Amino acid sequence: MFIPTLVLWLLSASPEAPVIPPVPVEAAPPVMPAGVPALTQAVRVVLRLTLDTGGEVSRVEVRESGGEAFDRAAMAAATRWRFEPARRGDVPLEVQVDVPVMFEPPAAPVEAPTAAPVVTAPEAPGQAPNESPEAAPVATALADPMPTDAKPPAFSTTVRGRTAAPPPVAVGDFHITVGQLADVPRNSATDLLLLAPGVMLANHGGEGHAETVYLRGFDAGEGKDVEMRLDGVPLNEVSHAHGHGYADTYFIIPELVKSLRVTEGPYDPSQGDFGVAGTVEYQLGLERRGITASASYGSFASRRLSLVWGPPESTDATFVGVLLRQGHGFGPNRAYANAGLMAQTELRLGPETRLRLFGASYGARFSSAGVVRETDVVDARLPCAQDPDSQFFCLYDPNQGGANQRHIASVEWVSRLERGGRFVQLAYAVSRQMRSRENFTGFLQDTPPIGEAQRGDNTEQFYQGTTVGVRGRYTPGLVWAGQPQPVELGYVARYDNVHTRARRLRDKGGAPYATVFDNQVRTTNLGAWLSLRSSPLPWLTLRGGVRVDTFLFAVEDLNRPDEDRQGERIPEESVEAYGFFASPRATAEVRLTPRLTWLTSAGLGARSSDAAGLSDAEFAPYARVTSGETGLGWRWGDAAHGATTVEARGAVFATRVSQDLVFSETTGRNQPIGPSQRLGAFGSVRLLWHERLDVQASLAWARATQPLPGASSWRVWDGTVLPYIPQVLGRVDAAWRGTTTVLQQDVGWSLALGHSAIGPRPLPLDRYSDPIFLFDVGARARWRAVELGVSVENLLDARWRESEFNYVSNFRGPDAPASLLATRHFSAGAPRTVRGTLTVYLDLQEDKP
Amino acid sequence: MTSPVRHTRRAFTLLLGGALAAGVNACGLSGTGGRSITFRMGLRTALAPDEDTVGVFTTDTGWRVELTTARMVLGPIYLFEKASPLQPQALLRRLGDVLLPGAHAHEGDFFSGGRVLGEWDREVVFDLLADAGQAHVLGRSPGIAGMARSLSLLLQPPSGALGAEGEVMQGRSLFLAGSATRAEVRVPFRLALDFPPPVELQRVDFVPIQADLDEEGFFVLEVQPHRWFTGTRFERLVVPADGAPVEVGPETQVHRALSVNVRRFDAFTGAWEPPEA
Repeated sequence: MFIPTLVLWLLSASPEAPVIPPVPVEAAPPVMPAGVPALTQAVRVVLRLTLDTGGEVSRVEVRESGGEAFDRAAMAAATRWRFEPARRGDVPLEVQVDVPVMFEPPAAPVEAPTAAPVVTAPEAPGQAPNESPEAAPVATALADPMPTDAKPPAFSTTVRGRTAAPPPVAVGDFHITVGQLADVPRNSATDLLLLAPGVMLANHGGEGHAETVYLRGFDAGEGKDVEMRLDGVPLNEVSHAHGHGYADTYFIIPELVKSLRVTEGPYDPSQGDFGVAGTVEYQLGLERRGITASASYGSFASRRLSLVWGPPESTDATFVGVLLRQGHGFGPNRAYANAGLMAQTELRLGPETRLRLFGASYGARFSSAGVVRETDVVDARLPCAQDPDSQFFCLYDPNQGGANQRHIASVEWVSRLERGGRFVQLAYAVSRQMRSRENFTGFLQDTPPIGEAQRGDNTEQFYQGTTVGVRGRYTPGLVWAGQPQPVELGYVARYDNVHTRARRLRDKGGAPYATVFDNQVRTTNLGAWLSLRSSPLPWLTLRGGVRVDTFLFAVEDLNRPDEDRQGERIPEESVEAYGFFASPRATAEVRLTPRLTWLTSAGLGARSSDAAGLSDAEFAPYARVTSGETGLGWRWGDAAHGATTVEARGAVFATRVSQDLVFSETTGRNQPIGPSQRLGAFGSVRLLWHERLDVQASLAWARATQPLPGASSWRVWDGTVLPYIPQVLGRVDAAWRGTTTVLQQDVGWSLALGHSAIGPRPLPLDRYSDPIFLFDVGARARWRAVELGVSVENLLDARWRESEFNYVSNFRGPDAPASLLATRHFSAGAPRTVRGTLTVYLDLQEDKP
Repeated sequence: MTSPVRHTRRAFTLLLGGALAAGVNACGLSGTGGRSITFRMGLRTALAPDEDTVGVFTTDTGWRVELTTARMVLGPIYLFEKASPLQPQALLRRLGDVLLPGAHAHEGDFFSGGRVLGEWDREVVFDLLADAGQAHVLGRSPGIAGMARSLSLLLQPPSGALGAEGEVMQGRSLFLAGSATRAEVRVPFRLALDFPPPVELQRVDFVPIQADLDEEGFFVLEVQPHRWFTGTRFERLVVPADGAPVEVGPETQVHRALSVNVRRFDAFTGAWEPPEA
């Protein structure tokens, strides 16, 4: 009852006033298209722009064509323009404007053949629209559209979402456009997460095994504490055999990732299950149209073939990508091979409606070296050559590795409503299978039959399941107290039907001999959220909302005994549980100056239960997280400062989790340890200079502890420090692009650097690990349609430990006496890796380089 | 040979590492709890009460035993944080245990000693008579600072890991030779014991100790052969007419007594010697 009443009340609040036309704020000129003959006369393109109530260009049509190449260049530039929105009184309006764009020949004879013609932008930055009648946009309210007797557009485009990211819901809410930073060498789309501050990735399972994510002082495992989505499709897998929330993003083709939204902390009402440390959303798009084919070869026989294609006539939301990877890996038993395909089509079903069809398929197989004992490496006791490097990358059990399959299909329906409202509906289906084999303890866990030796601790984890769901949000085109779109309603419905199982495998032959757990799990997650935004004062904006989630778990435990005290029984048992959780979240944004903003956020989040826990009836349905942060955001750079922008943020935060999970070597998955808490801070800065230099740097600190029994929840500093979680993380990504002339030919070039600094990690027994410093560099040069590149990862060839653990193991053999003293184990990080890449751009489109 | 590039890389890494480590370590230790130590581990043959010679003692059955050969394979040795359940306890505690006994029915509840604070994780062939009661140092061992209250060790046939060192044992777990004398009767004997798997029958559990493990201390496992002969009845052995040693076989009472006694919790003990100031 409350919501309809609120909606009706807001609808009735729209005032009437004269229309004030839009004012350009950012209007970088278009780039002269490549491959066109030198101009002898001016070329004119007239664009019709639809400007939404935020002043963003939400749609571009060509009203007057200047030729396909010029039309495309003009449209590409127009999608990046920003305006002060048109207003009726104080109320922003969605309007259409016609903007001529001129491409003119040089005023003087050109000495060098490479000199580009002058391009006339539609507006000088900061210029009032009526100062230049030629460029002045003509504002027309949608209720009074432009005459339609003009020449029909040769083609048109619709901007996917907004051209600029929506305002952050918290200081730690990052909308990260990959852009030029795609030049920094990265192994997979997962590595893009490093663009967010306070993130560290580690992998103990091989190329194909999901990365362990460390975020904001959380060991978020392979996804247990970080919600991951791909354009709205959830990637976390409930009750996965390897760990609840396991999320593998290897299948995402990096070239198709347009941006990421990383929300650190549970501050956005749309964040759902697993959003304990935060939420990561990969947003796909292919800005470079045409066909791009790329082949790489490098160290350890690594081969990579990719083909991405975006039809020039369509928007960046239409693409096809294929990626094949294969290699021997950087040490014994690390070979991998995988193939993935992602395709998306955006269909316009009307002037205000788009339908987006997406599909992805992925298959992978990989071997893994697992972990090794530090003492065995130091004493050169591993079954490899005796030199330190061979020992460092050696292994115990070659029967480790796994295989993955994933198939995704989704349909997204986006309707633009009157007055800037939106209605987005997403339906998806995911089919998933994974089998992995890992041996963390050697010969320790088995209780063999009398007279037999230990059979080995290699554990096979199997997961097969289907997920279907819908997700939607409705932003009514309301205006309330001068604020457009103050309300958003959203919902999720997700059903998972999965089979999750873990079995011990014999050391000899690999046959399973014991079942650790075997569950058929069905879960239904229904959730809804309501968020509100209000600006009671000119300098104050309040955002808040609440999310409600319900979970129904139905677990069929297939691993019960076939006999108990009362006699024989069926070795199966069913368990059901139901849970409900409400998560309020709020943010206060104080605009201290036009560029400096102070944001303070607080919120609750939740992680659903693991079915393996439910089958033992030991845990409450949820782990709850309470989090708060406060910090500053500063942005410099607009039309008045040319093409340079700087954005900096910094905040302090505190988080408390009611039930945390840590890795257990005995089961090879995460097990509960009780409450935990974090205190931390971060700072980040991103510099963009003339679309040539792009630098992002961040530094984060976090301290994660287990609170003392009975201690106040405010004492977030006290407690036993959780080991392995890095306390200090630094990251720099930088890419510099330019052009030069070689043999009278234009050659585009790019230099890129990625640097990770991982401070000493706390280890058990009051120790610290060694710090880690990794440098990755890349260079590329492009001439016409051909590009050559070289990348070097781990430039200094550091020997680093990607994952570290401390526990008891026995890898000496089934009959050898076991060491029972917990000792350090680690998985080796990759050494220096060099790759060369040849890229060919077909359907040539202007790009740098 | 180390290349200049490697030197530069190391210097660079150290520089950066130093800066980061300085920032972090300004707060002291990592705060994860516990403290890593290294201490020495050794073996010693205990003297019997009122004796001053190793391998010479009088049994409770009145036999004066003098060992001429005594070798055994032992190890690994584990030092646990939990006290032995067989440790003598206060009367009130024992009374309480009788009235409300602990339940050991569930998996994981059986006494396991808790966390291992120190260990010698290899086998060793120990000649009980070689060092005349002095400690034989095995080597340095990693551990965790704290009070160890019980120990456990394994007795087993020599494995291939021992190499040539194990050959002297000829595949047996324990060799004893000597003589037992009572009144006018002298029984020379030779005896070998085997401790084949399962591991439950190889393990000596619940040995009470009090060792406040710390850096650079010395933990000595004391073998108490005089306790192994408790209840042995040498008079039941038949001495060959030529006076040769009796080959004590598994069918004999002496063999059975030793098989049991060697694996009793009081067949061994341990002592901690803190580092000299």
